[in-house]
Amino acid sequence: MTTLGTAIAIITVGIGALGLILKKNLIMKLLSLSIINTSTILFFVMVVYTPGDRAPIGELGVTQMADPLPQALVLTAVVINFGVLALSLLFTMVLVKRYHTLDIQKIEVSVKREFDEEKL
Amino acid sequence: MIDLNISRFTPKELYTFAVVCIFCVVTIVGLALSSGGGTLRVGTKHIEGISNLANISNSVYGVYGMYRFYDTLFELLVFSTAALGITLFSDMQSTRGSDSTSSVESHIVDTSASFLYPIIAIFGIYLAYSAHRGPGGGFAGGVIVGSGVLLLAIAIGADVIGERFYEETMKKVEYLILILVMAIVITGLYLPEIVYQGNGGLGFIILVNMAIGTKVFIGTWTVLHFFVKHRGEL
Amino acid sequence: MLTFFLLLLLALSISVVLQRRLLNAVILLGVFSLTSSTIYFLAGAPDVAVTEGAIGVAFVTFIYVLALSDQGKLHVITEEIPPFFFQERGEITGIDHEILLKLAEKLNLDLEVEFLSHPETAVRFSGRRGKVLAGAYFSRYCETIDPLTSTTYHRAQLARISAESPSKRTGTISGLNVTGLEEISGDRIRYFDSLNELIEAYNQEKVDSIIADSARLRYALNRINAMRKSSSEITQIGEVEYSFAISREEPDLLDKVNDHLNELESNGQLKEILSRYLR
Repeated sequence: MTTLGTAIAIITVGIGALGLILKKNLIMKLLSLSIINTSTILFFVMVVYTPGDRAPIGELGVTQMADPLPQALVLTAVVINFGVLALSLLFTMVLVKRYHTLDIQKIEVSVKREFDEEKL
Repeated sequence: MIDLNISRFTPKELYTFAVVCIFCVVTIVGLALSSGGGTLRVGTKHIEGISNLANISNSVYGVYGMYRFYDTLFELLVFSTAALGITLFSDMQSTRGSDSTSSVESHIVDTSASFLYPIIAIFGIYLAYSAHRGPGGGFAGGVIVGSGVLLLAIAIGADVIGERFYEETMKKVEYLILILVMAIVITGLYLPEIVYQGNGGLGFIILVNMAIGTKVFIGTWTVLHFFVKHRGEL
Repeated sequence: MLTFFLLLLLALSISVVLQRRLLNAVILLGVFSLTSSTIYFLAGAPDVAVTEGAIGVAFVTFIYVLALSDQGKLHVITEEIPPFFFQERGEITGIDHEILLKLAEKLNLDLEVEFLSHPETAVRFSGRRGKVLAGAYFSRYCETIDPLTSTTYHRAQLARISAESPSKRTGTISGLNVTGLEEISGDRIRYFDSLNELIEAYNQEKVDSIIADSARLRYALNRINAMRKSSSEITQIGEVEYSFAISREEPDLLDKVNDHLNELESNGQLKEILSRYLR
């Protein structure tokens, strides 16, 4: 069953994927990746949501409650996203230090040239 | 602002756009067709199980702390790996010299940071402490204490804070905590009635949460120190 | 309520991807995270909301801002040389400034100008701070740092102001090391750290002539005292080409500056700017 929440989460994943593939700036790619991460979490939260749910805290099983399992699954993912982001920003820093540009196409050209020179 | 002239786009762009559109439509339609009758409730069984545990009233913590602790454990491992990677690169890369240690930004930031930091830290510790009966949890608590330190690091300078928090000792403590959490959890797998029941069990639960909070705090501090030290290098 | 925040989330995600300036995109991503955190809270997931609020809104945004603090700025180092780069009634104007301002607008950057004295420009430029060195720059002006040089936008003379005198002592600014300066003039040359010192020396008759490019010479002429001025005469001894120096670490920027200069040349704007300042 599709609700507005899940539909928007899926569309946002699509937008993030477009940004991730089509943007040429490395930082913009990372930002798009962040959008995909957040939207995935949103999907997990929304897919079990029915209007009128309250937080699964307090007296359990008495009133209508949100499902705790997907929330517990994605709670760890939020922190993982942060770790991944920090590490990839660091690698971006290393790349920028070496090639002095954030443009992925220019970096690819430089890497290819270096590789060819090494082979000769 | 957006020019919708189709010839402006390259074939690759149009192709990607089409694929993403198809993905969105197929997923939404498939989801709409999949389960017509009401929302899936996969966690109902867990709620029933957790309502038997007297110590826990936050069922989200119940799921990730009691039933799916491997998730949390491996999440901690992944986070440690990220922090380790940053530590290694931090030692390898040289800083830019005097530019990176610009000391006091402004006195407003300085004063408000020293005023706000205890409040933020207490809030973070509270969230980690009360994870079994309220919203929060070790992750959120650790990160909130970390953002308090971030404020201090901006105001006073990362190196000063690093000395004040005994950075070298903290990095060693990080792995001790990982071992501690693993030990408690593995004991809990085999002897659940001893570890999780009664007043002693409450102590264990709080200990695990505080340990996770400290672990995440140290990890965020490692990341933070690197980025404050290398600010503006992109 | 939830519907409103969901639609806001969609709009924010589109605007993040369409942003061209990185800092704006980062701030919008922070707002995106805040909105999603609100949605989690409304949908009965306060644990996720608290974690996302702490990480996505505070930490990630801050780390991006820290890492990007140099992005979005075109840092220009210059010395004050009318009519190329100077301050008039508190506002920065000049030929170089207008050209760079147009470039910054085109690249969506903020122009950040730092005025320094002549010897300082080379020192600061060789550090990481400066991206562009402007202000009547011509190649071989800072030999020690060897920057990338853009295409020429203006040709000027290398000239000498000299007072009639038998002892041939000539002064010039240090770094102004045009090929064969000593051969051209056939004099003993003294190097000065700044133009002001050079003019002072000329006024006090410590040197008998000044060699400089016409931009600096024009500035110098205004400051030379009346007695020396009346006895001075200007002779042309060579030619210099003005361009911009770009940091070795920014090869991208060089292409952009060259394209920009060619574009200004072809649509006549460059001529217009030059004629407005150099009457």
